[in-house]
Amino acid sequence: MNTQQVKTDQPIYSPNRTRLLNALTVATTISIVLAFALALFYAGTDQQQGQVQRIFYIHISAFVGGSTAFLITVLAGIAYLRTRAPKWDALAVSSVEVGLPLMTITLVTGMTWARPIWNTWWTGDPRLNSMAVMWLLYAAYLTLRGAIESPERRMRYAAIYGIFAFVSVIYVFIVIRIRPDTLHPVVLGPSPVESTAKGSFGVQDPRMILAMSVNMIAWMLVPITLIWHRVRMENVAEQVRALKMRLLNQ
Amino acid sequence: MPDTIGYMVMGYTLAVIILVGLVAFLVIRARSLRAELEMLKTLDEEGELPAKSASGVLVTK
Repeated sequence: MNTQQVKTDQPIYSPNRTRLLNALTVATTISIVLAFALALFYAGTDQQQGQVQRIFYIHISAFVGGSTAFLITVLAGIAYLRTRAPKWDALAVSSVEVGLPLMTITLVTGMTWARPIWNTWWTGDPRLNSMAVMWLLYAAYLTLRGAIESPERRMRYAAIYGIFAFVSVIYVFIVIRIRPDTLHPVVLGPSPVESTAKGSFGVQDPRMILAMSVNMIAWMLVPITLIWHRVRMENVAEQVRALKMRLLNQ
Repeated sequence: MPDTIGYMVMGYTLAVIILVGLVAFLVIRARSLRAELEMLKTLDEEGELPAKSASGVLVTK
């Protein structure tokens, strides 16, 4: 038996933290089921758009969830550059890996809504194009990480990239509020410019407000929970790498 | 009121598929990593040198 014990033998997480994560997982699951139920069966049907308007409950909320994940990437990137602690890099990459699928949901639900309302799946609209660019930027973040061999350089470059990539998220959010030539409606909040938006609707009905609010909360819990699980997975992966190295060097 | 229920079903179905796919990926990968860790720990405790493939990947006996 080896006398040198690796730290993988020691418990890493306190039971309280694990209990908290389990409770958060249950709360997220319940809230997402409730959010879907409210959006599909409780909120009223839009008279002009019909049932397809219900897509907006997840379309907007998934964008909020994805933005939350990418904001965590920014904060983790800043923390990494200040401390150089690998745990912040693990948090940053976990956030991108969770945020990207949420942004994919935003893209595909948007396209599905656009087909009957705009009569096209995709058009060269500033909002749509900026969203596609943002998605590609974060996909490139993962590719960039795979291309850099040195762990220290990879973590440093990824932290800087993750911070600057968030500019695209801010642009996607404001573009429909500053560009008058967009088809995309501003659903939440007023638009400061007279736009050519097509498919606008208001969220004034109390049932719609409740459905939208619950969806927002649920889709913000989703990235937080999944990122937490993903970070734990990254820690196990790191232990596996360390053990492999040790065994190979024996 | 236009009949757009088909598109709504399509949108929600795609969203559920992506979300479930993400969760499934995390669950499967975590289980696989835990199994690999247990195997490596056992090898480490037994003091056995695992065989190496040509690419340097550990191979169990």
